[in-house]
Amino acid sequence: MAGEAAVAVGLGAFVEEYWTQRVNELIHLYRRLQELRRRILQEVEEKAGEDVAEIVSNIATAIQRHATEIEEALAELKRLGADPVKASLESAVEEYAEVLRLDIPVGGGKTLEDLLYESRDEVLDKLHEIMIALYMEYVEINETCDHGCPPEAAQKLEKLATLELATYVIYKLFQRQKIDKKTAVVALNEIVDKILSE
Amino acid sequence: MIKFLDVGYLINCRHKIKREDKLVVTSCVLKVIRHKIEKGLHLFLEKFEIIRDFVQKYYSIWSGKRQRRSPKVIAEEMAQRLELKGYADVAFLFRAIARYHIRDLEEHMEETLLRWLSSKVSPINYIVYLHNYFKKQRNYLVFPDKVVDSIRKELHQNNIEIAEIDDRELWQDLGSGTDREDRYQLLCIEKYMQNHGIPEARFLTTDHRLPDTAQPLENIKVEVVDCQA
Repeated sequence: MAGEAAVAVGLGAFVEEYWTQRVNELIHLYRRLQELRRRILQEVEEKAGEDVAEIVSNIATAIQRHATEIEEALAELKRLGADPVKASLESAVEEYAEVLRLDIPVGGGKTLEDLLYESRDEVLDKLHEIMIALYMEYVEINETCDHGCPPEAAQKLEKLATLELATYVIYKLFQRQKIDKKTAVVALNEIVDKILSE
Repeated sequence: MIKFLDVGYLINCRHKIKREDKLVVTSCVLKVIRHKIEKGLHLFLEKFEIIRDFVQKYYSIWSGKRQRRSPKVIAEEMAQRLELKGYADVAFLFRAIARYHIRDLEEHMEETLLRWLSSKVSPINYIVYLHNYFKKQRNYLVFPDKVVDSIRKELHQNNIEIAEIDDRELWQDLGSGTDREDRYQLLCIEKYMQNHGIPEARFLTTDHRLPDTAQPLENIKVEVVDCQA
């Protein structure tokens, strides 16, 4: 009986108490960053026009506005031994690789692949171009930043991150019919050009 | 007898090249390839939306057609389809990509598309990847040279001689016409033969019109080979 009790409370105690709890703390901080991102996107979206340069500038201002909160979360992540840039980069590469396998269902029993072949939607085509462009860049930087990011790679990442946020804002504006399809395609095209010229 | 290879033979009949023959490729042939790749690349970027639309239509006929394939297989399929659609220059670009290991493109593809997304790719991902690769940091400016360098490297590995021809004066005598590039290749061969005292040579080509163009040059025997995959 005592043995069973010991097993019940003791088995996995170390890994759970030490490691999983630590992971949970990390998850909590990443969630905090995710909340901040959503707030930034909402703020930018509310006053966004169709000009990519303006959206990019508004994103930078919004990030600046929340800089203290973001930096607090980053400092806490670093204190817990995490490398936030490396972690974000690795998870971005994995997530894009997953989406670009194209077999993810996107509603109505269709996969992304079905939509790319069948719907021939210009906005979707541009978003696909952007996803491949970002994926290509992130994979490359991930290799470069394997043992710490050199300043030029860190700078490039910052620009790419802003362009990725701008893509989201443009897509949301189009979804909410605040901009028409033609405007969205022009803006997304400008973003893909900027990503690939970096 | 010494055998010269033309542009079409080099691109389409790579698998037929035998080491036992004394084979020569003039630098003029490589120049024509470079020019054709440049032209194909320009058109590919300019007409990308049309080409993507064409890929989407072609591969969406039935879902089995969309199955992932190796990039080389897709490039070969694209070359065949584009040729039929009248995009001969873009088809040439795809054929070169399908047949040769092109430095940097292959490595880049290995590290991104293939390493993270598996060895076989979806045709739509491949075509968009290629488009982005060419646009990335203006890769399209250096790509034609990379193709020629890669072909040169392979010719060296197969002990095929590359004859460097001083072609500055040759261009002046060419004039215009659709067979201009063929006449240019022939004049380069003639110049090489004169410089090396070679009385007679063979010229291997895939172009059925070339024997007519070569008629005035009696010491060059044109051999038309059909080796499209």
